[in-house]
Amino acid sequence: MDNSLNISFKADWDEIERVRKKGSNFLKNHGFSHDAIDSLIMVISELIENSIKYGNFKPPRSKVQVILYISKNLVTIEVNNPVDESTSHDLRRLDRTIQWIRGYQDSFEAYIERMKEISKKPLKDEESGLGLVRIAYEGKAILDFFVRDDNMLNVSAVTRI
Amino acid sequence: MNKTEVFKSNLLHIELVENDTSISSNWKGKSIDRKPGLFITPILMKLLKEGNEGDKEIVLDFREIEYMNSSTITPVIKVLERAKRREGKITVLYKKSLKWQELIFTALEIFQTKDQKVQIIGC
Repeated sequence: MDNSLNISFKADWDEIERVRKKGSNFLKNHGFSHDAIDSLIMVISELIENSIKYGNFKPPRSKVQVILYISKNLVTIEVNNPVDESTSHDLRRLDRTIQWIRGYQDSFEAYIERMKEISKKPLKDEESGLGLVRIAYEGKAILDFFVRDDNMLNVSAVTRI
Repeated sequence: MNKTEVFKSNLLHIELVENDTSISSNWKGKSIDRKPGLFITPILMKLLKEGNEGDKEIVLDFREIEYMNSSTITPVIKVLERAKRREGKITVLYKKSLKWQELIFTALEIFQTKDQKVQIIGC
């Protein structure tokens, strides 16, 4: 059985549920438990949501690519999307957030801190800011990112199984 | 007699059931919208307002929800923080046997109050 799943799709919010289902079936076929599937699909969903929100999609670079790879002890999830100069502010924020999460020995503490910050924000403020720290806490994943030479952002989450 | 109202947005259904002592919101399906707060926040505010006016307990019952994105958790966090400073009681129910729910809702225990005005209960 193939240990990797590679899906490319249009950067359309309605596609997320379809990718969630594909990912879920793939993990089910590899014998993952319900809890593990819930956790890994949450990671995929949150990464794709960020990708669609902050990527710069212009034809012919209008797709999101998701790669899920299972090795002996690890599951790696990578999400790729195009970026350009206009997204440099978001990339700096992504960098700061990942560094901030890494600053905590226990990602639960980072999650609690972020919840406290959110609780003080106005009700109408639509920004969540919880997705990456949720991946670290609930998904028990280590986050990283880099920008390729062809201006594709790769955000990865690696979790032990 | 119970009064029931149902709100739907994409794959998320929220059913409000009001009786003499409480107003319960039963969350079902999946909350996956890009901006779920636009749908959820007015419902939560309505619950707080009507709970206060009728002196009724508010119940947020998430036991049947299958998935919610992080943008869905945000309005819940904000409402729990505001509920601490208001009159009335609010109880959050979740399904303890689901690992993802346990992780999300035990973290929300930071909004619990000693006087049980805000309670988070795993069932």
